[in-house]
Amino acid sequence: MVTEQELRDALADAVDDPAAETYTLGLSDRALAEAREDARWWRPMTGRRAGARVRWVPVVAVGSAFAVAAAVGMAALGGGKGSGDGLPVQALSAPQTPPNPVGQEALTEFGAECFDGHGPKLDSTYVWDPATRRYHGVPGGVVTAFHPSPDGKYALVELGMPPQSWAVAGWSDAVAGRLTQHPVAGVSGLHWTADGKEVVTDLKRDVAKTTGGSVLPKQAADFYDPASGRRLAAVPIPQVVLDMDASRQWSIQQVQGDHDSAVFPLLSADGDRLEYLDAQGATIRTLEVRDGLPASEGKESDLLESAQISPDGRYLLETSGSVLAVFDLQARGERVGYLDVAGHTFSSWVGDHQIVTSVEKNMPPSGARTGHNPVYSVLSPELKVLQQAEFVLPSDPHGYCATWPMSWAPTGQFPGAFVP
Amino acid sequence: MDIEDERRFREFVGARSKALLQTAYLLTGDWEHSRDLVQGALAGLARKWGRLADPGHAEAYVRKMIYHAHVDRTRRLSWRRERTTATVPDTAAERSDPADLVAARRDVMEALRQLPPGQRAVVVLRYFEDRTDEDIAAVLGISAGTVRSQHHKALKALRVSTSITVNDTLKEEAAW
Repeated sequence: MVTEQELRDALADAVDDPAAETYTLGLSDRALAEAREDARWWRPMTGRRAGARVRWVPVVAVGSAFAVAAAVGMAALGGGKGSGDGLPVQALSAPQTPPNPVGQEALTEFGAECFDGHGPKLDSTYVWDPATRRYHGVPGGVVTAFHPSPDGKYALVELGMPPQSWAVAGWSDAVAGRLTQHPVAGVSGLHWTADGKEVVTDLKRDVAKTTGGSVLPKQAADFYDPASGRRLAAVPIPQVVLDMDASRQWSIQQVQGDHDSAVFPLLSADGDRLEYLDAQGATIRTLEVRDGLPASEGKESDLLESAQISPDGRYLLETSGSVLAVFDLQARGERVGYLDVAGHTFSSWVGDHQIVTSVEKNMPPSGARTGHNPVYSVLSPELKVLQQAEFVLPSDPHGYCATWPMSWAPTGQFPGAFVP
Repeated sequence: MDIEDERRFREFVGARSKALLQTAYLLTGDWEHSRDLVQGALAGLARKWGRLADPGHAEAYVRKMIYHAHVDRTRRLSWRRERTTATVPDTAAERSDPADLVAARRDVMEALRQLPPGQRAVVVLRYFEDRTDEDIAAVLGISAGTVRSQHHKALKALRVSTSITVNDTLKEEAAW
């Protein structure tokens, strides 16, 4: 235990760094330049949001240094030009790296943001196009997200954050912007069902405008036909599920199944149980693990924990705050991996027995800043590093631009895309 | 922004940038990111400078932007794509308790980073900036009750001994 005064002293010590002075130099100039530049870069949009400004808030991984346990390979992207002036770089080649027999999934989409007015001018999102074998910038200033279908042939595209519309098209058509958009409101996102035959709205929390508390904006899961955009069903979340979630002893996970067989998983706050309830509120399955991760609290006092089962159904991955844990469901739920990933952007299972995380390459002990490039790590179920690669834009060797992963798909479906 | 406004803006930045950077550093743990955060907030202030009713509110405005930008950034950091599987199966690593890190002063940054952003903000405002609950509530745009609740949870997570108690019947309010 420490005292409040010790905490106070520790915080004061932490910021007592002579390096701080250097970061104040030129701050006025840069802030004024950013204010002027920001007004110039605003791009008007068409449609419902004409006149409204959409700005992608930069996301940069923060946190502690990441211990590199394996050799780090450099994955450089070809293409790119200029240094902040002119039009955004539209297309980026995939890295020329040796074949990676370990990696099972390729990066199909990443976000980008550059700082300090240096580096190339980039679009907000880049998506892999199998036809051209390059990453293409998504123009228009709209925040998008591309979700590969389970077979990799189609893209579910969300437009706007939160989504204002969605569309499904063949992957190359989607990259080219040939989309038939379906308006949607009050949802935080959408995803494919596991069989790829339907699209369903996400169950996620939002902040209530009146109370500021954590709420589920939609108390139903909407299922859509991806081909026509027609809503197939609105499956209400069972009251027992809502009650369990509201009790803060459970946290609701993403709905599973299709509109005829929707299942609502809930993870206990102690991380030891995962219960599956059907649309009538009956418990149809229970998974138990040992030494589950207790939930940490999110910014709306909601429980920050999630559970994902590996594609082959053998492992359960729990995340809580900055910690990952993996449990072997074929070994009575024994915990087989535990890892503190503070500062990482956690991505998900990529393949049956692989998990990918990324972290911004931080300042090494020598003190030389190495920029914003992410280092991707592929982890085993035991959360040991199998493979690592730094994601570098050759036109930005100093790493003025940060990039982060947004979607992955099996390498066989997207040959040539970046595999960490 | 006219010449006089720009001069006063620069004067403000010169006087307060170090303090703003230090606060941002406690939120992010990295000086480069802190500078980005502060620069963005100052750019926002610059755009609004001519419309400020009272230039004395500039610092409060910037601090509020820093805290909110930090929370937004941290929220997007936790973005992830979740996979579903239609097949629900039919049935160590060395454990470490993050709270133990607080035992050493040199580990306080690590422990602080593991707090949710709302709790982290309250800790920084309380123990680095020495602000009252009402001030913290004004900066973060939340109620004083929520500040106290978040404060209590943060100290519990950091294992800081305190005489502070929180009414158990206090409604759990959102920090943001």
